[in-house]
Amino acid sequence: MIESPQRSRRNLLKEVWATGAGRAGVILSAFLALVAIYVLVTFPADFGPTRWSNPAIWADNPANAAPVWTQWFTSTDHAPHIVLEPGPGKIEEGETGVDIATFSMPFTFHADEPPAFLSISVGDVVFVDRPPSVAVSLHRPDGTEVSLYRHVVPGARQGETSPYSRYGEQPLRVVLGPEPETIEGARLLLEEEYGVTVATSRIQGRTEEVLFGRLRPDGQLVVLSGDYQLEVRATLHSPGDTVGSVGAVVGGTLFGVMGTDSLGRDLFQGLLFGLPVALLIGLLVSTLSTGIGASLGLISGYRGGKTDTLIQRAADVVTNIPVLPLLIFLVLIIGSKLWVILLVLVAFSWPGLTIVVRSMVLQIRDGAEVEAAKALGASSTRIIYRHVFPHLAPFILAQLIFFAPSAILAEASLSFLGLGDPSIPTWGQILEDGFRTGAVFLGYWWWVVPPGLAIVVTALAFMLLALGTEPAVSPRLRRTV
Amino acid sequence: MPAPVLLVEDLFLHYETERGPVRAVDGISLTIDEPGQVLALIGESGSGKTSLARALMRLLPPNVDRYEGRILLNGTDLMTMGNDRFRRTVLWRKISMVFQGAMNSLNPVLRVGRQVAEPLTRADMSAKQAQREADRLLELVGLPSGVSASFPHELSGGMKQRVVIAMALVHQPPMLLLDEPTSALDASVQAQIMNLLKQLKWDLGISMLFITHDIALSADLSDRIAVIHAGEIREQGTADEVLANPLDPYTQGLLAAVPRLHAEERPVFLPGAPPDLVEPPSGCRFHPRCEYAFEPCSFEPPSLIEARPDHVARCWLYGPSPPADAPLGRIRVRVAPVPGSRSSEREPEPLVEVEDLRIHFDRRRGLLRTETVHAVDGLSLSLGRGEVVALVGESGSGKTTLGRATLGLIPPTEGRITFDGAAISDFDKLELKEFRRRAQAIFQDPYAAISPFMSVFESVEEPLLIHGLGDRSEREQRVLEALEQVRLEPVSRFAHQYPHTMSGGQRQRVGIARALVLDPEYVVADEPVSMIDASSRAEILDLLRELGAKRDITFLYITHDIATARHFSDRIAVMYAGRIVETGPSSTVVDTPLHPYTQALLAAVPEPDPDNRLRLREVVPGEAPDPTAIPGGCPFHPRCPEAMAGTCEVVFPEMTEPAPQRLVACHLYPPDSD
Repeated sequence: MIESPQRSRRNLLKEVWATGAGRAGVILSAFLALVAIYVLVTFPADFGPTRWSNPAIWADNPANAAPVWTQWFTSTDHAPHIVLEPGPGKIEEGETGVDIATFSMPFTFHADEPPAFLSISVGDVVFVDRPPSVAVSLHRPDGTEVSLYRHVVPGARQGETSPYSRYGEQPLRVVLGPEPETIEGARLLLEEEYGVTVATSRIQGRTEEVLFGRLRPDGQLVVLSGDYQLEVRATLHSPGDTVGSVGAVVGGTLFGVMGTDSLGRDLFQGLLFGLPVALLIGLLVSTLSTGIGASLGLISGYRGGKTDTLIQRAADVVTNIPVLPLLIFLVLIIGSKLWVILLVLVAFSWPGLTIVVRSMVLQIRDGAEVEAAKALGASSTRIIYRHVFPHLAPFILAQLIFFAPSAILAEASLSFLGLGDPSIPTWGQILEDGFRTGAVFLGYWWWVVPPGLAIVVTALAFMLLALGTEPAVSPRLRRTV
Repeated sequence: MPAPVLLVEDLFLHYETERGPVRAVDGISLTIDEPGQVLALIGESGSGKTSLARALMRLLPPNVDRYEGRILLNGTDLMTMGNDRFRRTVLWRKISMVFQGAMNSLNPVLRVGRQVAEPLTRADMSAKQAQREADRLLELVGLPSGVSASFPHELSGGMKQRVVIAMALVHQPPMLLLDEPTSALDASVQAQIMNLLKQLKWDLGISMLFITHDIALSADLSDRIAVIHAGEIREQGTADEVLANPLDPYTQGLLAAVPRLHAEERPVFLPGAPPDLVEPPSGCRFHPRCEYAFEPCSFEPPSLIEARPDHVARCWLYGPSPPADAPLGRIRVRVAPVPGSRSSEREPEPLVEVEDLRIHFDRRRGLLRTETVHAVDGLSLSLGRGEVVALVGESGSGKTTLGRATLGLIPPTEGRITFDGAAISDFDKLELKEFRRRAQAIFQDPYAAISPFMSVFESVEEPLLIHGLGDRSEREQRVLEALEQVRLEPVSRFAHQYPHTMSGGQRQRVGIARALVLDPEYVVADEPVSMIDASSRAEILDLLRELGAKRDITFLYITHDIATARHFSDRIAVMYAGRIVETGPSSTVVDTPLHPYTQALLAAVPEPDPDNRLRLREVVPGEAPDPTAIPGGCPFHPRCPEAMAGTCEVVFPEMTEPAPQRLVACHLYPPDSD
């Protein structure tokens, strides 16, 4: 029984759903579309420049941290990433008319390894006369108190008038580990508590290990688990003086769903933002290039003669221009802009479809349906639109879907070569970052595997859809009745 | 008594589909008793006949639901045989097959001799021996000795079909299945192939199962006839019996639909189409189409009843309680005159005139060589207003080119075509559009000519849109009217259907409605029924004739089937090699053909006469000449049985009028011999 293409068009979705590949493709692409919509709604449009490429945003994150869920697969208890925010400071009246604002931040530390780092931040300091000073100390579960850091807010500068604001725009942020005072505190802790005297140089780089550890009789430092409290005390000299915000981070060795890169960037956010970008690249490039390719093929095949020769020779020329050198050249001149890359991808991907569509049109043009329409006196436009195009539509649709993953892959490879647009993070760029900083050799798999997988999965979704549409498009592949 | 050559008992072949099993073969029993016996299996398309052949050859698609029964070939049970053994010992060796359209499946890059020899070299025969054997087989099927070295594209359709038959005979099988072996061939080539099959049957004693939809053709070859409908045998008996005394109303219907060449009686069509084999009708599967259906038919399925000796039918008319008038052996005929047939005395004013038309195209052959195709080569023809002219000829005679040229779709190389007094080639854009409204075409293939993406309504509305006729409601009214006229009823249901849900006959009616909705004056109908089952051809032609007569439409009916031309047209013009060789009123041309070519065409028409199987038909040898190399002198002389040496191959015959209204171009009728 001959099945007409009509049936395939009417029930395209049904036919796609009927095949296993098609069903998987529909489910997968629906999922991707939902995620993409979520990202579009929740992420700022200028995510690239304002967030992804802004180091301040990621400063509190541990660098090169593995995803949190890796915890489940290892026996050691990794240090968690704890962000501390105290309530409003308690203000006590001290001696000589000085107020002391105390911000205490209790936390429970329970792990087999010390935190990756310890940092504090102080912001929005306002003072009237004398600058306040800030002191940080750590209360350990064994009752000892270690003084970690002291800082005097810079005083009035010339030409400034009271009240003076400090750290409003950018809070004071100190990573305590390398600070000499902190190292000294750790040294004193070992000396007073365990009676061990060590040189500060031996503590350097291991400060967190000492601060969050206890010395076993055999001389080994092990992690001391329990309830800690970080205290920030600000000495305020005048009644109008305030310390607005105080915070601290006990840096973990694990972070988030997908870990972080060497700048502490949350890779999960980058991955999420990459999805709508990838879909946009795929759909835009494939729509434009199939649109151009199909229309040129239709015109070329139906018109014939000189138009045909012109279009076909143009297609031959374009197929034979090497894309990569041209792209590198363009990037050098115009700079790496996403639209340049997309434009080049579109400009070089239409010829294949044009050649195929033309040969299909040639066949249809000489067929009975077109002859019948001609005998009725139909115009060329009408014949192309009503009697030629409908026969090609399912094929073109399948091409459109098939095209999308190759566009995504092409963009990823270009980004990987460093030709990507730095203002818009894509999966290819994350891969490139990882590759360039040696993530592969250092074993930071969470940096390179997820973007790679994301590219594969997105391409797969389109491929499965295309495979699903194939039986509907080509009657030979359809199950016979 | 020796075991029968082929014994099929209760064979079932059901295909699995989403809607349920398709009962393509549903409990069929057949026998071929002795070597050299031919059983014809007759049914419309969709009746399950090809599925039966596939079941016998075990060439099954992957979606088989049920495949069981007994097949004994010379006493060997084939159904219990393992696949491997079946393939090695039975397939092609004991039973082989010629598929429908097989001639188009020859390997285009191998010489045909090698293709025939290939299975032999695999059967441990030396290459030389195999080649000799292949040459012998090719000679056996009537091909000249040089053919062995040719490539398939160098051979004509008839020759390729002979090659395919030779391939089926390679292992000298005692049993041959033939699935519509002549369906794509011209009538005269078809007759040649039938003669060849007859000879194989007589000389080699090969038994055959001959599958066809053409009951008239089956009379040529078969000793026994089985009629299949909806996966069941409806009637089986000797050919003489079945053709002379058809029992089953279905067989009677098939016979009645055959156009008779030499009688005024006109064919009667069989209504409806074979039923859906997923849910066949309850009771007798033929009852919805049967004019004799009575009480038990709709709920009680009949079994095969032996109504006459060695002649069974699946029909309650021969059951225990038949109604009084069982129509045994009755074939309905109509003697009513052709609707709209005009008296030939009145000379109508000409509407379309073709004067000394020549249409040549250049065809590229190889890299550099081009050759000129003389599709139409000096042809004059005039169609009077309201006249129906049949243009008859073999494929390659240029008749389709002529038809297209009269519609202005091909520019003439030389000569003139005038429509209503004005030359078509001089039309400007506006005049051409107006001409396109007045002249319409009905195409051969209703599957191809109608857009599968448009509903029936849209298809029929399109011509009105193109010509900007009427507003919305007016257009709708005209479309519905046109659909009503072509009897696509109920109109409201068909209007919203798409072509793929319709049968070939229904689709062709859409094509007719589309052509007639513009109220044309001139219609070219190019083989409008050749792709339609024989049983519904008469219906379509009747409809055309009736509508044409009502509106005084001039028809150019292009066909290779001179039998339908007789019943459909007022005048027949026989075309050969781009020229008209004979014209005259239809019935006189058919009854007293003058030109030897017309005589040959007529001899090739199969008729349901059981005596045909006892003799070879007299057919002209060869096929229509290559239009790039038309023989000099009379183009027909190489094939003509009456060619006169020294005249025919030298002198081109001019048109003469040996009898009133009869024009012929043949040296047998010199201008002075009135």
